[in-house]
Amino acid sequence: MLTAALSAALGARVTVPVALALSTTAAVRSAVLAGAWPAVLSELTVAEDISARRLARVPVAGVNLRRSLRAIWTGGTLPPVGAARDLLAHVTSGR
Amino acid sequence: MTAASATPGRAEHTEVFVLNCPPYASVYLGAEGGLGGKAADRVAGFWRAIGVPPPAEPDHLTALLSLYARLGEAPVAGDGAAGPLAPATAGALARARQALFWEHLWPWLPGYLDAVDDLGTPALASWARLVRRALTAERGRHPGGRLPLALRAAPVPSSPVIEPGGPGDLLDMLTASVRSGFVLTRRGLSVAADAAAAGHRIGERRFTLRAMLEQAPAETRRWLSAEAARWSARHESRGPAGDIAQAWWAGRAARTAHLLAAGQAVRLQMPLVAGNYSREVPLSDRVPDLAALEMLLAVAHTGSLNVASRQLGITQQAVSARVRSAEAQAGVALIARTPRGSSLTPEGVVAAEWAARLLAVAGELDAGLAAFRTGHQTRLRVSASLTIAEQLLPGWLVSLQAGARHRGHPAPQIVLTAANSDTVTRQVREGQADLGFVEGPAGPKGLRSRVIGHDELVVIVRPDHPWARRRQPLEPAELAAASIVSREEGSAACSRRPCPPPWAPGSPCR
Repeated sequence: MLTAALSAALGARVTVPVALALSTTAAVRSAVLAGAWPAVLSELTVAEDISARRLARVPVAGVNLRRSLRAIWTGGTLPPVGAARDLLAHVTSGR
Repeated sequence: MTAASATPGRAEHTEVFVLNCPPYASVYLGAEGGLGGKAADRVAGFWRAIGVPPPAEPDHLTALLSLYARLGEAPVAGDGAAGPLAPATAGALARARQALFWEHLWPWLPGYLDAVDDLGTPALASWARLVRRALTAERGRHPGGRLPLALRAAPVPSSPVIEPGGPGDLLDMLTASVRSGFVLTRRGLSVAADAAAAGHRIGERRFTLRAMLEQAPAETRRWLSAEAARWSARHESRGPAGDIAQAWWAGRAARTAHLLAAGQAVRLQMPLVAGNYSREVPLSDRVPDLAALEMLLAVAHTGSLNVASRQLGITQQAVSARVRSAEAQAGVALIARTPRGSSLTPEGVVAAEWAARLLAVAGELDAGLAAFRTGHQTRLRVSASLTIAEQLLPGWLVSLQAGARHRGHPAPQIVLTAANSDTVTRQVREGQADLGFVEGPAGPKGLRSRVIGHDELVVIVRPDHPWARRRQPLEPAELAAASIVSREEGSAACSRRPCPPPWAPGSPCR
């Protein structure tokens, strides 16, 4: 996602040098708090840290890093009647 | 014909057999709703086919019942009355009897007897019940068969719009039982006219009906629709179960009820009511599948391939290709593509309407089958990407459970798996998860999806990092050149197997 967005913005295929790859969001967050590197994370994950000023958000010019969150399922236009459909309706109505 | 209780008087006889329920097959089986015509020719043809000269009124109930009785007698050589029937073998007589019953009595007589019953004339009502009992007993002796010719030949309205001011088609339909699916008597009409406070004009049903539709269109339609619905239930309840002829009548009456209830300008459409599905010929291989019809309908509703594709959560190319292949299959152009956009062809508009009815029924089937499934499926398996599982789902699940409890429903039991987006997609595709939540610019191929929100990736640093003090936004090149910490999308802990939610004790994703 990041690589693709940067490649699109720069008009050339780029590889972002990754200093450290961690398996969880929490680990990435801890690494940023502990050291020198910047990180790219979902806004949802770090919103609280940003508002509490534990982390700072750096604006980036001309790169679209927005992404859609989607529910996915197989079969009909709606998930099967019952819990699956209820959950989807709940999620879409509560937005 | 003998009356069970009392002998009907002349006035009663006239009221029932002359004014309201003439006892001729052609009245109920003919497209014109009157005596004679092709329906009467068919009955006369039956007489000739078995070698008996047709009487003056070949489709009169009395003539048909006495022929039926005669065919039931054993052939007696030299029996003058039997005439040309005498040389026939017992097998041929039985076949003729079966054909007479199935083709010329059973398709109309049960409904006819109900109509006589409705008139409430005591002597004739008990006669009707007597004949009905005998008829039902006889039905048990015959195996039935394919849909009777008269019903197969019944006209299917193409798609004329019935205008409120010019109800020609509507009158044709309502005055012919075989078109409407029910028997509309003069008595019924006068009751309806009183109820609708419309002036009742004595005379032909057509004139009465026209006057009623002009004076009180809404009330008249409502009454007619209710009447058709009542008849549909009546045909439906008539035995034996699965009888193809009575099911046909039930379907036709239901369709009429639906049409009349639908509003002022009613479009007559191809009958799609389940009870009408009684064709022996299988569907041709030129019927587009439901998914393609669904796409056509989405294009019809949104007026654009682009919007339709977004609504369906698939690419515009996929929608376009699917509709194109449906067009090739059907051999009909459904969408006109111009440089300025796409619109439905006139054929496409009509096809979309048919598709809407078909899909409505398919939706019921889908929901019905799903309801069977949910009985066994009290657990919902949800698989979600890490971000969604961590940040959003816990809140959703809690409020879902609270909402279910609030409404008094059993709270669904939800089993959540957190994984990266690729794994979530795979689990949904392979049926290991019922519902998945992923992030990304587009929905995964081959799956249904719906956008439920948006998220943005942000660059973050510690507040003492030089980037935090910048006045200008970061340039993409600067970001591309920097070393960053990232969450590995295909991290080993979370991609090889589903892992417990990050907040669960011992989760590798914690």
